[in-house]
This record gives sequence, C-alpha cells and structure tokens, in this order.
Amino acid sequence: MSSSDRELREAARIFKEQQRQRVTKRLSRRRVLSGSAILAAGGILAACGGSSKNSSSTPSGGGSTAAPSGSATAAGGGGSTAGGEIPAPLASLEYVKKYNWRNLKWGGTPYIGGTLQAAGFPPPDWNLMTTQTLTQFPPYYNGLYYSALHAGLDLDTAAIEPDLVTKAEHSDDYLTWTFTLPQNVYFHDIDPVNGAQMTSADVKFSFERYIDTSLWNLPLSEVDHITAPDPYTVQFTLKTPALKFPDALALPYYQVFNEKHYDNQDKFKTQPIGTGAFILKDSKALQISHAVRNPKYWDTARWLKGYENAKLPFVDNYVSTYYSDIASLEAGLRGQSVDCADLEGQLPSVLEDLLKANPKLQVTTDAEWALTPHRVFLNWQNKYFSDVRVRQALSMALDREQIVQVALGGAGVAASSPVPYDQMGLDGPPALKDMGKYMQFDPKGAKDLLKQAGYEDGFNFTAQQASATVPSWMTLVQKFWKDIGVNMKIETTPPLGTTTALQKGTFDAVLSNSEGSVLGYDIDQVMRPMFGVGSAANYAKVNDSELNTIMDKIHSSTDPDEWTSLAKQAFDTFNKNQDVIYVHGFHTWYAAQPWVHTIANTYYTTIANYAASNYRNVWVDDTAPGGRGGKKATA
Amino acid sequence: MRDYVIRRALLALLTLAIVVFVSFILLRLTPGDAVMQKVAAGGLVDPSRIEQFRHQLGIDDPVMVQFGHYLNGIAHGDFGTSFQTSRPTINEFGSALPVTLELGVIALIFSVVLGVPLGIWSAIRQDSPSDYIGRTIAVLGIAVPSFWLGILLIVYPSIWFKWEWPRGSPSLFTDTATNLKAFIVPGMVLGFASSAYVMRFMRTTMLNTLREDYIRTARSKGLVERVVVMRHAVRVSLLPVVTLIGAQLGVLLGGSVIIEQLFGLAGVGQQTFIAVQARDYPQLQTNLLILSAAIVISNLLTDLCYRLLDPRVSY
Amino acid sequence: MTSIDAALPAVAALPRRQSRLSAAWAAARKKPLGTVCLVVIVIYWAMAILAPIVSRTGYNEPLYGPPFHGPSWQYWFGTDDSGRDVYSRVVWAARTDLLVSLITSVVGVSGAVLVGLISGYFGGLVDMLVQRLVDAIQALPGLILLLVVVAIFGTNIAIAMSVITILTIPIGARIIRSDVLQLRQMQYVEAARSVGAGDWRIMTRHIFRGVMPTAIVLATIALGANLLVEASLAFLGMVSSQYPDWGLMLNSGALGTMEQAPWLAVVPGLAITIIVFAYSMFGDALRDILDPKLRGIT
Repeated sequence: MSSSDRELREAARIFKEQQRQRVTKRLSRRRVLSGSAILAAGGILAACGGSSKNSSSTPSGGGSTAAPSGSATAAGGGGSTAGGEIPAPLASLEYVKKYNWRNLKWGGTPYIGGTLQAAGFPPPDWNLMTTQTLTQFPPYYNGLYYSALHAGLDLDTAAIEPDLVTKAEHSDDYLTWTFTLPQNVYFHDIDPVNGAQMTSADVKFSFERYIDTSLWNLPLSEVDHITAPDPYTVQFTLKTPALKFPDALALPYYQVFNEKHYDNQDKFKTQPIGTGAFILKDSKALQISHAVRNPKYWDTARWLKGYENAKLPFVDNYVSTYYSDIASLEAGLRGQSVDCADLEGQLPSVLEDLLKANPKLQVTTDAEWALTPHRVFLNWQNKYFSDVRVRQALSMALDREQIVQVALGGAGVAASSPVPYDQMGLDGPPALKDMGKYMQFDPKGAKDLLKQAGYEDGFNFTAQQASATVPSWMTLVQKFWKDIGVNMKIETTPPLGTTTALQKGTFDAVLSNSEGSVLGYDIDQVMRPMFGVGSAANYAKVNDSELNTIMDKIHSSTDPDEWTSLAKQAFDTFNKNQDVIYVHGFHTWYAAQPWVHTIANTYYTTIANYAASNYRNVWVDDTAPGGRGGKKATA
Repeated sequence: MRDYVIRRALLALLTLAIVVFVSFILLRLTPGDAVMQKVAAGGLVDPSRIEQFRHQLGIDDPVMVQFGHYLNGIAHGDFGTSFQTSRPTINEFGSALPVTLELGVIALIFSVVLGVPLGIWSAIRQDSPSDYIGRTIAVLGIAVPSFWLGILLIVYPSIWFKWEWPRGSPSLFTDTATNLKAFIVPGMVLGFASSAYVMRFMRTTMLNTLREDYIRTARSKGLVERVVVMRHAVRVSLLPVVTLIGAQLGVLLGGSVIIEQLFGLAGVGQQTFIAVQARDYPQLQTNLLILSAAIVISNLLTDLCYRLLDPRVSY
Repeated sequence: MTSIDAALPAVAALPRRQSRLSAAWAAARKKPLGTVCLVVIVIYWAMAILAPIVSRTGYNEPLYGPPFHGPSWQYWFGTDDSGRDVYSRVVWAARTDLLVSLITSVVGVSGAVLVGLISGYFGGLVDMLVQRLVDAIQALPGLILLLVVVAIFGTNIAIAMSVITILTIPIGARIIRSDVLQLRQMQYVEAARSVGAGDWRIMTRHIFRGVMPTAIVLATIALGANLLVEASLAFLGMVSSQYPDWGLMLNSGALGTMEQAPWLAVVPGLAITIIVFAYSMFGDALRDILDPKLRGIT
C-alpha cells in the first residue's frame, strides 16, 4: 500500500477519535433519526463553473454512499468552532498542504447584509417536475430532509438532517413514517401563493405530484399513500418496510411547493415560490440570476454560539453567474467578482493555478473522502465483458496508484468502490491491498487471466466518453490496457450521445466521469438501481447473481447491524466480480474567497451540494471588494 | 430592374422554404431528444414517465405530423414554445438578439475603423515596408483563431492585472459602463477577422481606382496628392467595401457562437448552440428560420448592390 | 483574357533560354514575403510527412515524462496533463490538420469549379436550380449547421470534413460562376463555336483553363479557412479523433492550467496561426503573379 494511503487511514483514525471526544451530546430540538444513512457523494448536476464546455449539464458523482456508524447524535455542535485549518493528522498529508485545503470557519461574529456572488448555473426553467439542475433550487425551497450541514467535519453525525421536520417517528415495522412540521413556515410573498403558510397539505400535494407526474418518481416507488391528519402532521405509508426511508425524502428532487403555484403551470415553470431563504427576483438562463433575502424565513442560526436567534439568511443578496469554461471561472476568481465556486470536476492542476494567483483562496474538500468515482462501464452484452475473467484482468492491468498520482496529482483514492467504508462500519477507508487480488496492479496476472478466457492476443473495442476533451485518467487507462494487449479506442460523443447510448445499451464501454450515476444516500438507493438485474438504471446490464442476492437482502433488512454486515459482503463481492471497473475516487472541491464564511461543509462531499447550496448560513465580511460585504452584527 | 428584384425575392423565399424544411427533418433525426437531455443528469428514471413527457412535448408524433403542426402554427403566427424554458421561442430570440446585434455592431465598427484606414495607407504606400506591415497585420486578423485570441484575452489580463470582463450581458441602457466593458473586447475579437477582409478589399479597390484615368487627370491638374486620394479615390472605393460588409453577416453569426460562449454573453449564437445540445426543436427552428432569412436578405441586397455597380454582368 | 493568354505574349517575348524555373525564381524575388511563406508551408508539410522521424515519441504516449513539465532540453515544448511530449504531439497533429484542410479544400474547390462551370455555362433552368441549392446551403450559418450535423451523425472527423467540404462549395461556386459568365462572352469562345467545337469541348478546354487561376486562389484561401473551421470545431468538442489535432490540444485541459502551464495553450494556437498566415500570404503572392486582376478577390 502506498504511503499516502496509509497516512490517510492513520490520520483519519486519529481525527475521528478526537472528534468523538469533542462532540457534545446535547440534542438539538430536531432529533436526527438513528441509523439514517449518510449522504451520497457529491455530484451536482450542472454544477457551477463547469465541467463541460458544452454547458449541457453533466451529472456527477452519486453512486457512492455510506452509512453512519449508528447512534443518534447532536446536529451541529453549537459553539464548536472547528474550522479554518484542517485538523492536525490530516493537515500533514502532502496534498492537503499542496492544495491549501482547509475547512471554512464555522463560527465567530456574523456579518449581516451584503451580497454573495456565486458561480452557478441559472437554469432554463424552474420546473420541479423535470429539472435536472438540482443545485439551483435550494436557495428558494426547502425539502423535508436535506444533506447535513455541520461545523467542520463532524464525522459522527448522520449525513442527512431534517429540514422541514421537527419530529420524526416510524412504526416498529418501518412501514409507517410520521413527520411533524414546524408551524412558523411561510411561502414567499409572490402571486399566486402570496405568503401563505406551509402546512401538511402542501407536503402531501407536493409529494403526490412527484409520485404521479415528475420524472423522478422511482425513488418514491415504495410509497403507498400519504395522509395529512392535521395541518402540521404528515404520514407516509409504505408498501414494503424501509429502514432508511428518510434517505429517499432527502433527495434533492423533492422540494415542497404550494398547490396554487402548481396550478399555474406558466408560473410554476418560470418562477420558484418556496419557503427558502432567498426570493428569486430575476433569472436569465445560463447567464445570471438575482435573488434577495426572504424577510420571513423561518430558520435561525441555531448552531452559532451567541447568535442562536439570529435570523437567516445573513446576506441581503445572492447573485449566481454562469461561467462556461474553467478559464473564465479562474479569471472570475482572480478578478474577485466570484466569491465562491464549485470546482467539482476539476483536477488539482487547476487548483495550483488558482492558488498561485490567490494564495488566500480557501479550497475546501473532505480531506479523507474521495468518493466521487471515475469508472468504466463495460457492457455485459458484449461477449468479452460478460466473462468475469476478462473484467478481472482489465482491473488488474491498472496501476491505480500511479493513475492517482499522475492524473489527480496525488489527491485521490485508489481504493474506490460503490460501497463507502462507513456503511460497512469501518473507521477509515480500506487500503487498496485489502480489497482483494483483482484490485491489485498485476499485469502478468491479468495476461494470464486473459489467456484463460481465450484472449491471449488481446482484443479491440471502442469506448465512449462525454467530456469535450479526453481527461488524462482515460488516456492512462488506455495505456495500461494496451500494455496487456487490449486496445481501447476512445470516442468522444457529446454528453447527450453518451447518455442515450447508456440508456439504449448501444455501447461497448463507457468511460464515465459521472454519467450513469444514480443519486442516493445509502447503498440500497444506489447500488440496487445500478447493478440490480432488470433495473432501469443498470446500464451495463450487470447480471451478478451473488451481488443480487445480497442487495435484495439489504433492501428488505430492518436491522442496522445486519445491514452493515451485508454491506461488507457487497463490497467483497463487487471487488471480486468487477461488475463495473472503479478506477479511483477523486475529491470534489469548492473554492471560496477569504471574505466568505460558513459555507456549509457536508459530510461526504464538498460544499456545493444540494443542501449547502442554499447558502442560508453564509455571511460575507467587510473585506469583500466592491463594498459588497456585510456589517458586523452586534450581539 | 424591378422584375429582377421581384424574381430574386421570390427565389429567396424558395430558398428559405428549402432551408426550413430540411432543417426540420434534420433536427428530428438527431439521436436523443429534449426529455432524454433532462434525464441525462439524474440517472434513475422511469421509462414510461419519459414517454409521457415526450408526448407532452409532441415529439412522439411522426415527423410529417409534427411538420404539419409546425406549419399550422406559423400560419397563425405561433412559432412554438421552447422545450427548455417553456416560453415562446420568438420572445427568447428577441431577448438574445440585442446581445448579438451589439456584438455585431461593435465588430463592424472595429473592422471599419481598423480596416479602412489601414487599407488606404497600405494602398498609397504600395510595396513599401509600411505596406508589408499593413498586410501582415491584416493577414494576422485572418490567421489568428478567434477562440484562441478570446481565451488569451480572458486569461492573461486576469493573471497580470486581476482584470476580468463582466459577464451576464448587462443592459446597454441601464448599465452602460458595465455593458461597454463587457462587450468591447469580444466585439473586437469578432471584428478582428472582418477587419482583415475590409483592409485587403479596401486596399485593392484603392489600387484599382488609383490607376484609373480620372485620377491621373486629377493629378495632372495639380491637385495635392492627399486631396486626390481622399476626395476622389476613397469615396469611390468605399462603395464596394460596403457591400463586403453585408457579406460578412454569415461569418459574424458563426463566429459569435464561440465568442458569446467564451465571454458569457447570451446572444443568438450561444442560444442556438445550447438549443442544439438540448434538442430544443422549437427554439432551433425559430432561430434557424430567422438567421437564414437574415442571411438570404443580406445576400439579396449584396447581389443588388453588385448589380448596381456593374450592370455589365448579366445575372 | 485569361492569365495564360495574357502571359503568352510576355512569355513569347522572353529570351529563349529562360526556363520555367528561372521564371519562378524571378517571381519569387519579386514577392519575398510570399516566398518566405511558401518555405513555411513546405516546412509544415515536411513535418507532417516525416512525423515519425521528426517527432520524439509516438502520437499517444502517456507517461513519457512527468505531467505539466515546462519546456526544457528534454521536452522541447513541455509535457501535458498525461505526461505526453507536447512537441511530438504538435508534429503529429500537423498530419491531421494539414490533411483535413487539404482534402476539404481540394475537394471543395473542385466541387465549386464543377458547380460554377455547369451553372455558369449552361444558364437557364439548370443555373437557377443550382443557384437555389447553393443559396440554401449558404443561408445557414456554417458553424450552426455543423453543430446540428455533428449532433446527428457523431463527432467522427470524417463527418466534420464532409460538411466543411460541402460548405466550401457555395462561396467558391459563386465566384467561379461569375468568372464563367465573363469568359462565356469572350470572343474566342465565339470563334471556337463557329469552328464547330461542341459545348463540352469549349467548357473543358477553354473555360476550364480560364477558371484555373481563380480556382487556385480559392484553394489557397480555403486551405487556411478550413483549417480554422476544423480547429474551432475541435475546440468546441464537436470533433474527436484518436490522433492529435491542434484544436483538440487547445481543448484538452489546457484552459484550466494556463497560469502554471501556459505552453499547453500557447503552442497549438501558434501552430495554427503560423500556417494559416503562411497559406494566406502565399495565396496573395500567387494571385499577384497569376493575374493581377484577381486582386479584387479578398
């Protein structure tokens, strides 16, 4: 195992210990469910400052999930001001220093007012039933749950948190879930909703539309019916028991809206009217959008010591501007008109550029998690790839550690898998060497396997990929496969072409930066759709009966311990059978200027995920250029 | 002459009809559609739900039926609603048009301001080092890839001076200073190539004109050289150059796709580019129709100008 | 009236000894800039043809050196994000770019000549129909048509080449056609016809030769223009190829690292600029020599 992997595990272990001792057990008024799952890898659709010059949104991440290690804990440690520097054991990692990783300061004296200018992606329309630009909605809406936001990296807390839920209960058989809603929530004061109060009728209505009309109904397919016994209680009855039902509710598709809004379809598609922290004033698709603070926003800064009753959001204005390519985004960051940007798909080399110009730029990421995978989908309907020996050989031909070094500048994890280590109850990421022989770099073994499978002289095939340029990890994979006699030709197709090929199964292989991902918070939500036989999202037509059995058991399990052990089995089986080749995991990053505070740092991913992109917790101090900073709050 | 104009106009309409029909069919051939494009992001989607949305958008009908609906709509002045924004395509085009117009105007102004004087100067100093410099600059305008120049102009000012060009197409009327700051450089990049053509054409026309008899007459009359040049030669040479400007329209529209994309300006070029990616057929249809009409009309006018200039040529 | 006919008396007036070669040499001395550019073109083409010898690595050799290494004795133009030698990639890319521009221009101009000849010579209904078709193709902004075609048929470079070729034809055809129209009136055509020469003969023998200079000039313009179009497409990600290409090189990850690895963005752009400059200048010089009257075409 490489020294960086080992260091990483050790550092993570120490850090976790320290955190465990630090977290206070004080419960907030919103109790987090036990056993609820943790956020999936980032992957924001059409994330700001893009990946693709073609500006059609590319999905990212997803496909990896993790489970918490058990017990209910406090949400956010009010008063703990972990932040700023990355804590010691992780801080000594080579690439933490090199890329200036830090946690944003979560604490201090807030500054009220001012303007936050983020790099975003104003979508062409605001139709919640069809949209895929999910990060753009959270400033204006709330869902029942969202990805957890915590001070610093609080690793013992669940990765999803209640948003519009004050209390959650479930029946013993996990078939009925009852949620209590807050009583002080109002919609934006825009026609035709005009500031009406949010009640359970709205929640019921919204979810029923998601189930019967939206493109995103499948994650809710276990829901049998929804009732609203009183204005502040909503009850979901399921067809089959679900241990982690809130994971489905936390998906970024499911924002709460009002019936009158939906009835006016023109308005519904062009103007968001939600309960969120900001009100959208105007938006030009793929250009710029302007929003102002919602004066009646219901949430306060409960997590901020000394200011627990301070009304959110802190900033007066939120502006989102679109940058079509990385060069102009970098120019924006250098020129300081961009306060914060999701650099998600970008490689570390870009960070080096930015840090040269602006050493004070805060680059945040989860130092120990690099869960967003680069993978290769091999179509099982192709005669080569249905043979497990061929897949194993292809995996063994890859020197994953070298790929991480060269393509990711060292900032990545060679031991990548669709089963994150948390869901297996582990403390830190496993070492590559512990993932079985088919994940190890062994070109000779690979050639032997190929020979056994009858392809001693190798073979040729064509792979598709969707970015405008061929990233270096793909050229490296191509090189390693060439070394064992397998010649892969890489064809670039526009993103829609690749997705269509995935949907129709008309491909030999797809080199995926993020295509083919499924969003989810736990391995049941993600793995079963991706690898389950007959599933709509099983693009590679994976037919692994061993894995299937395990996934079916997970699906019907209502025992957290059983879940954990099944997760480990899934992990081992996947590593053995190489159903999809996971090359490595990369870090997703976020850049924020020094005058930006408290962009929430979520558990498995970086800041610009669905929840954090609501920017409700952010403040801008008075060192912001152009006089757009806020004013220091008086206690 | 009048007959000629009418005849050409009718033929232009025919051309336009061909363009509309062919592009309609071509678009429906593209793999993937607007619904798939939305799905591209999220992963787990119900296939029957996809069909439902396809039906809502009307893209599951046979192609000729769709074409029929389209023609019917046009007859009633309805150019369809964008699949992406659900707003009328004409309105969308209308909001993107001012950006491209402004870019185009700045490009044209720049190309004239740079090209005409350079062309004149080069012509009167023919074959001297100044001429070579002038011609080299002009050819550079043709040779330098506009997207490369654009990238360099975005990145290096930000590295050297922390300077950046405002994005988001600020309005010319309400926010003039920012607007000009945002549009000047992209306009100049767009106009750089055109300026090359203007310069060269101006130069050759001037050279031809300077050889004409009446210029010799003016010289022999003892008129000062500068008067000869400015009053007689330039005025005559300008007219053909004006026609050249008309012919640049197609080039500008193509170039604007890249420039608008790079500099973050929501013009027609970018709108069309994105509409292709998003398979937004109604928007594409409308944009193609209007753009083609503009080019056809511009060609028509250019032809008429040529005809006016040189009646000898029979068309 | 054609350049050849115009040159005939001049050639006849030359002393017998003078060969074509020295005529060429004389021309070269008159147009120094054009000659320099011709040399540049020859160098580029030599680079392309001799790529396996002139370059230092294969066209796709990741990990030849460390990634993002700056220009040095070992890596003349530095290395890219996969550790490939940029100099070698630029040399190999010359093959792709020059070949693409050559094929599209030669085929395109040939097509333009054909269309212009038929349209201009026969006139009437044929002319009208052909002109309508030509107008229709020209009516769509080229880049946008390319985008649509690529969306349908994929990013294979052959697709892009076909469309670029098709787009080259209308503009050329117009110019050739107006040439043909002028030539048609020429007296010697009347003369040939009166001797009984058939249409076909007149067309191929006389008019075709008359159109040649224009065609050559058009070809040199097209060589540069089409190279730029293909580079733009590659930059936009609308063309993909397993072989290197200057436009693709500008695209691949060069944009995000311009501060620490500027050579990745600067070198391919310069490569394109220099050759297109050379093509254009040489075309100018050629035009000046062949037929000064052609100076009107920019």
